[in-house]
Amino acid sequence: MKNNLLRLFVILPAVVFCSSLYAQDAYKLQYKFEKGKTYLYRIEATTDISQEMMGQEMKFNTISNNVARFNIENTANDGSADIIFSLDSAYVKSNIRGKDTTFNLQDMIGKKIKMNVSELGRINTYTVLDSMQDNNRTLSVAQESKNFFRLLNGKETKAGDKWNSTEVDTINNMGGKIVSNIDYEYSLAGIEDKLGHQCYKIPFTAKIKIEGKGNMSGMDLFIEGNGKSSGTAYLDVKTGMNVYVESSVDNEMTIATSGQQTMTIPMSQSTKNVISLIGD
Amino acid sequence: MKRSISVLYVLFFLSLYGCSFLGITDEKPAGEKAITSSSAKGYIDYLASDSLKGRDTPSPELDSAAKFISLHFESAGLRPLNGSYFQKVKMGYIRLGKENFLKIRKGKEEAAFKLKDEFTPFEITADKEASAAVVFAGYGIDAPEYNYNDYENLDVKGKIVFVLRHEPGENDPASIFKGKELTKYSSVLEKTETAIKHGAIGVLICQDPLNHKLLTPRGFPWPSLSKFIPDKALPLSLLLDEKDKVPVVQVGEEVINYLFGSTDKLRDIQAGIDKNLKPSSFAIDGASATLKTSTELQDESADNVIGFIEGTDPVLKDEVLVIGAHYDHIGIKKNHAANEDYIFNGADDNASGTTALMEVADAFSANNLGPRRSILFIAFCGEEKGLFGSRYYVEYPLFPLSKTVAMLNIDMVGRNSIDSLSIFGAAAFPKITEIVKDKNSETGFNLVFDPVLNGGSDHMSFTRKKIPALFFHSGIHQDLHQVSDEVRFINYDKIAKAAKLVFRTAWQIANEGDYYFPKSN
Repeated sequence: MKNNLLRLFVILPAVVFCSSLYAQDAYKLQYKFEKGKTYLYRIEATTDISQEMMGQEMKFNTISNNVARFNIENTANDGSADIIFSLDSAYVKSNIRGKDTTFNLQDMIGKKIKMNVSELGRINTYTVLDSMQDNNRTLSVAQESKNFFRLLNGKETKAGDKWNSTEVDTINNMGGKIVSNIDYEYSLAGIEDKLGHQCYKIPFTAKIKIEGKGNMSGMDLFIEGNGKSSGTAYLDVKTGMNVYVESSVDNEMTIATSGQQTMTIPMSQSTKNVISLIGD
Repeated sequence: MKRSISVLYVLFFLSLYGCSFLGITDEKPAGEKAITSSSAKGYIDYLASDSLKGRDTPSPELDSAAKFISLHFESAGLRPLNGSYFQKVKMGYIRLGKENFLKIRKGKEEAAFKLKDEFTPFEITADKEASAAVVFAGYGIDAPEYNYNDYENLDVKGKIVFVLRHEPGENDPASIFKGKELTKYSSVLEKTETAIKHGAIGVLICQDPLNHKLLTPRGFPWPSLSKFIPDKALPLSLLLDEKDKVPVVQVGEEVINYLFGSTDKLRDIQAGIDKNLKPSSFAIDGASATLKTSTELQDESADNVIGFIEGTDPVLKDEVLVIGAHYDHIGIKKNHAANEDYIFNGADDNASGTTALMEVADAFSANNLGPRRSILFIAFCGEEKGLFGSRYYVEYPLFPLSKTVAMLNIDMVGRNSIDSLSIFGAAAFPKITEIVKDKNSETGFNLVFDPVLNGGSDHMSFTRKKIPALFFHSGIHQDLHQVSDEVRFINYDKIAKAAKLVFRTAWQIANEGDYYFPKSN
């Protein structure tokens, strides 16, 4: 009898454990865009850059604090949506050689970028509606909008499941193009409340490869680098939209120039990002 | 009465003696009259002319400028050193050679590491092989002014050192180094020179794991190891003698794991150093490495132009004051339209400083008296490439650096308001700054004393070697490194005025007693 009881004690927890696995909910991870809806986000980024020039390493630091607006303009039967992205406010504080400077980037405010985004978060088309005099500014706005969506798998997914995606991002700039290849690995950690929303908790890691060529002021530019990223995204269970994302990205790059001046500038970049939903 | 007369005699002779003693420093040096706006115009008009095509380093046009300056030094009575007005500055292109390997033995095991993926040589590496025990030397820093020495009680003679990049408290605003700003001690060059100074024969450097996630062995971005960076992007490098170099590579995670067991272990060691600010250096138990890096050099040398005035004092003449200005600029626009101006004349940067240097040489030449200390006038090449001329000089000085009392650097003194001039280095070297202030009472500049010793010019090479240096500069402007930096915008009077201030300052320094330049310099 004693033996049977002991056996029960051993078996019972094992059965409970197994049944909990089998009974675990599966979720179809996708975006459920709702026409006319507007989401407001605070996007904060702290970037430390160190670069070597002529044997000396120099460090710069920038902190940006933007409020971004995502307006779901249209939705289609396939679940995709036309989304208008713009910034309500944009501040950048830089620290170079101990000197702080704050920029209020007024010319970026309200400039619109239109994206068509699939229900899995893939950006199908991308149009800059209001370009700025400084093309780099347009690019930085564009970058903020592009980095916003996680690529979901659209499949029944249980806690602990993993999926991969590769994103190729091409920026046409400086008379050439810079291509980033990012291999993501996502996993579903479970369901968790965040900022008053029930959310999918999705940790992710990424390997980044950057290559590019360009031309500036008569010089040919070459960029090569690699990086790592990791973070956790909290997506609203009802809509799939971001509620909170924290991530970090570390890149090691070399920028080389030939022509007017020949230089090789090794550069390290480390960025911490926080995206939080502040209104919907 | 007789007594009064004798007292008078005594006083008279004393006053004469006093005058002769003070006379050298207090006399307004007569040679200053040789500094004129019209002669400045003559010099700069040639140096910044289109015929010199922007005086790129190296180029035939730079050689023409060097010849012009040397002839001027000669005509001003400056002497050559070692029979020549030229010091060959060895520079060129360094390519990675064919044989590069890193093998590490721990006990009976040996691991070979892959080039690029697991280790990458720096451009300052030697064409050599080193084989020795591996010693962990923390951050590889020996900084007396911060009371920090990773090499304290550590024997690295004949060993290969393993060091971390950067410095303790890299991201700590309260770091005893310069808070979050990196000091010179964080540079790979400084770490390598420190290791060599302590007798190391090879250097393994890794990204510090406490503050950096990526431990990629970046090293130097050799085009031969890259798919994207072409050979034509290879920059010109200063070529130091191989005897002064050792193999230096950056190593990645695989090497860290092999030597320390894991990156976490190294991270813990680093955290301990940062916390206690005490070195935690040690010989890595049973570890030895064989490190070989090979390089191929393409010589593209250019010249520093040097003229010498020997001091008149039998003792002080062994000490030397350096007055310098770089005479190179950035050449021509390589891609330009047919009718476009394509020559970067560099009238202000730094034909103006070179002109001031020549004017100061004229003034010393025209002076009734010679300076008590010796003076070296150096027109540096390769400043625009990375202070090559001055860096080379301080590595291979023609006078011992221990006897070099100060350096005055003149770089861009022909633009902006004639009334203003910036002096960099004032906070670091208050004594020579006192002299400048004193002498400026006659020239009348509104002097701006920049608290930070930077400015990215040739004085930095001297301050790195702990030689007091000041940088005379009239500020940047919109034409800097543009084809529009032309003589039509140059204020010749300002060049002459700046040259007079440098001359008076130099005169005082060259004749001053021990107060300003104690033997402990």
